[in-house]
Amino acid sequence: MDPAIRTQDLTRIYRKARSRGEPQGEFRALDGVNLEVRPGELFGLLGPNGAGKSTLIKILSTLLFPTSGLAQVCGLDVVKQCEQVRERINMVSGGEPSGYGLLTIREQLWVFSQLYGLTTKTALERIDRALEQYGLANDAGTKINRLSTGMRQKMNLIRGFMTNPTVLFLDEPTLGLDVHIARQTRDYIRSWMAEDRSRTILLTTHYMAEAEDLCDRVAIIHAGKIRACDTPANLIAAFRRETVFELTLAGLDGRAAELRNLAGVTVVRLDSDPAAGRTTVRLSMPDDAALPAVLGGIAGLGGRILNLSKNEVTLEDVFVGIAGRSFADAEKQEE
Amino acid sequence: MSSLRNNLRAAGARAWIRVVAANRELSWVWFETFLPALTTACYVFIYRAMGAAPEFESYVILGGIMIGFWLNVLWGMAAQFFWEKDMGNLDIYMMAPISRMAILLGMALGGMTGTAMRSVVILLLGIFAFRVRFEVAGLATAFGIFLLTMASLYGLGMMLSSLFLLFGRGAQRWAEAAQEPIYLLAGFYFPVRNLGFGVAAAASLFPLALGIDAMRQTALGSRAGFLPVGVEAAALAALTVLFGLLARTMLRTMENRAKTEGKLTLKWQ
Amino acid sequence: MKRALRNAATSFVLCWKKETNWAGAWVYLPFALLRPVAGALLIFVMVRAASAPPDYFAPAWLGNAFFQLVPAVLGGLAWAVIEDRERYQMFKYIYLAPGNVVPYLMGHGLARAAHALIGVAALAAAGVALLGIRTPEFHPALLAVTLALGLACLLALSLALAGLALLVARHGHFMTESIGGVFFLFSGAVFPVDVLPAWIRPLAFASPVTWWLELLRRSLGLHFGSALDGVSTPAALAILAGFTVFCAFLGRAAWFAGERKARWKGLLDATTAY
Ligand SMILES: Nc1ncnc2c1ncn2[C@@H]1O[C@H](COP(=O)(O)OP(=O)(O)O)[C@@H](O)[C@H]1O
Ligand SMILES: [Mg+2]
Repeated sequence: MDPAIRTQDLTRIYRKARSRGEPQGEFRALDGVNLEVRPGELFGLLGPNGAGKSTLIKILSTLLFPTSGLAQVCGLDVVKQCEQVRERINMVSGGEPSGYGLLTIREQLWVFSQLYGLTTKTALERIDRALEQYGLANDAGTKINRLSTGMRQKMNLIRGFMTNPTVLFLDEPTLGLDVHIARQTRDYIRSWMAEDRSRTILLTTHYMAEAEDLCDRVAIIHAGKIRACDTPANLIAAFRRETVFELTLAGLDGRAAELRNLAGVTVVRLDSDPAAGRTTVRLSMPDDAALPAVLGGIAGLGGRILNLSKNEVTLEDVFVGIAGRSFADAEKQEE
Repeated sequence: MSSLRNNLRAAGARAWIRVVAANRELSWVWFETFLPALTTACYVFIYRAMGAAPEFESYVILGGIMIGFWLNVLWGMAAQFFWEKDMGNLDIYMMAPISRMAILLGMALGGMTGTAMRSVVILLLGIFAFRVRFEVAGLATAFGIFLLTMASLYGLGMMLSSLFLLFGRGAQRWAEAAQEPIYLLAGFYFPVRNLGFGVAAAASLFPLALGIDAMRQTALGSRAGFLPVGVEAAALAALTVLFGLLARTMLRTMENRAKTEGKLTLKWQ
Repeated sequence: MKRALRNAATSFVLCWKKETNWAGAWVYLPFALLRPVAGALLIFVMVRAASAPPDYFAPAWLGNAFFQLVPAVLGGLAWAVIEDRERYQMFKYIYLAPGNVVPYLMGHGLARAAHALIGVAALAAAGVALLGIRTPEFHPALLAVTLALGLACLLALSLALAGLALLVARHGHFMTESIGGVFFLFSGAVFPVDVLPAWIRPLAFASPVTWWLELLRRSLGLHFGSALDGVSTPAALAILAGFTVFCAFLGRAAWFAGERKARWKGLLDATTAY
């Protein structure tokens, strides 16, 4: 059986807009990506902003050509056989407005269903059922230009689900959603997958917990390259020998950044709140034996420990271990 | 065959959006029917001020009616395709398993409600307020010419939509700037042969120039035609085929280029 | 006040750039002239097709030239509202920024006026240099005063339209195009008011543009029809000034009414395209 998605040395180079006097620059958004997603899998692509997630999704959903390499969906080449690929896919991109302001949710969904050759009867049945399941039934008659962000995104997701694609691409489906709607969304994704075991979803996210909670397998992408690919449990297990501590410190007075220089540990996350004079730091280290040295280092910076706890390894720790820096840092660098 | 059905379904749905939305927001009736009728009347008065023969009034009315169809193809279809990108809908159309032409057709058909209204208002104005006289015998031929003109105009519109897709805002600027030049070259307000043979022949690449001229000859009995009606009809048919083929290739080429350059989903360029 | 001026100036520059920045000057200039020149040629060809009498051409040509300002300014503000709201989805930010949105819109209108003046100048020059139009008299002071008054009046009316644009859907394009058409009909731009049926003529007298164009023609010693002959030039100036004051109040009131209603109905950041 063909893999649902397969890429081989997939590379995409964007030409940077020419600014005066400078030669035209190039930007490698995807760099030799090899990926294989099996039918029936809920596959997560995890990476910070700018990692290349959307670029990959656009290539796979026939909206963008790769610069080189191979990309297949259901064994079909996304460049040469795009017509056949389109019969089998759908894509939803989170956080993007779409639709026509004067139509209602139900009408809008019907319109988009007509792009996939559904009869009106089938389409309306599916739409009504999805609206019901996803808690949007009461808003079916609301016009698009009166929707809240959450409702708009729910509508957009239903647009993807209602055509029953073999492979569904979800680009940051929970972007900008509140905790409650995000949970509803994850539940809906799971139930849609459970309805038919041959369905495949490739979803991207930069929320670790979401990938850990939802996905059968996860690939970690960073700066256009796949850094690791396995089940969340395996990724974490491979990392289990590491020990993770979370400390709350006081008295660092602006020297919090120097924690990054402590020998023998990796700083996973560092939040300092100068107003309250507190710093929370998450550290991962090869074994407990390194702890006394770390505590000494903190004391040397003038820090007092308010709280110290030993924690479970999470996907975030794995990511930092692999990419060498945390999401927050990566995003800062982007800006 | 199922693919034809699916494409028609998609076109129907896209047209339906227009019709429904137009019914929900009726301010367009004012802007798209009443005011254009006034503009048309203006050109009638210009001829009156010049003391021109009454048939010029019929010429203006016919031209005024046809302008609506041109505007629908240009702004309601070709440019709309590009606006969909800013609205976040173009991706959805582009990755659906249907032809882009179906979507374009839907846009044009959906806009026809408004255009038809506009035409009727101008026609009534011409008949009741001005001195428009039809040659009843020529009306059937004129209708055939009208359909042919629409077909080639639609082909031209699809070509333009691919240019809009690629050049975005720049193309829109050009389309805006070309408005009066098109009004001039198409002979909306005077028989096109007044441009001189060379210019009129060049202007005939724009299907409305030939279409309006042929309709004036058949429906209004104009003797100021540019070429014989038969020749004009044949040329229109040739243009329809040519534009249709070109539109297909151009749409595909432009889409591929946009996909290569990563511009297909790039907003606000 | 100072802030409002700065706001307007920034907006002027912004709009000017939006109009011109996308191309180099050598593309831009012929481009900017395309519309006015083609529109004027349209009249020229009509004159020839219908063999119009010789005294028709000069006042019609110049009337049409000056008329370029009307749709440009009149639609300018409404267009700024619609484009910023629907296309860039930025209107809400401009609206909520400190300082008033009105100076911002005015800046847009002035930039469009400056843009249109290029066409006016070119057409007038072409008429004189190429088409043999002669102006029997020339009163620069009258011309300047009339231009300034007319511009103020158009900007004020335009503000009213911008208020309306906040409330209607998607039709910005048709609105800005066709409102210009109304004035084209009722203002004696390309045919004398005399040609209009008697029962429509009062509408022409109620249009400030009629008086504006009449005064512009008088400043050049031209004569177009006889409907306005009974009004002396000072009286016509007074009428235009009166219209300007009236339109200023109207524009202000209509804008604030539109704004209030839009805010009430949540239309300041609506998108209505279909
Ligand atoms: N059309 C484009 N032209 C130029 N650069 C682009 C384009 N689209 C994306 N990029 C760049 O490619 C990189 C990856 O973008 P993207 O795939 O959107 O990342 P992600 O979805 O992971 O946040 C970013 O640095 C972005 O700036
Ligand atoms: Mg992204």
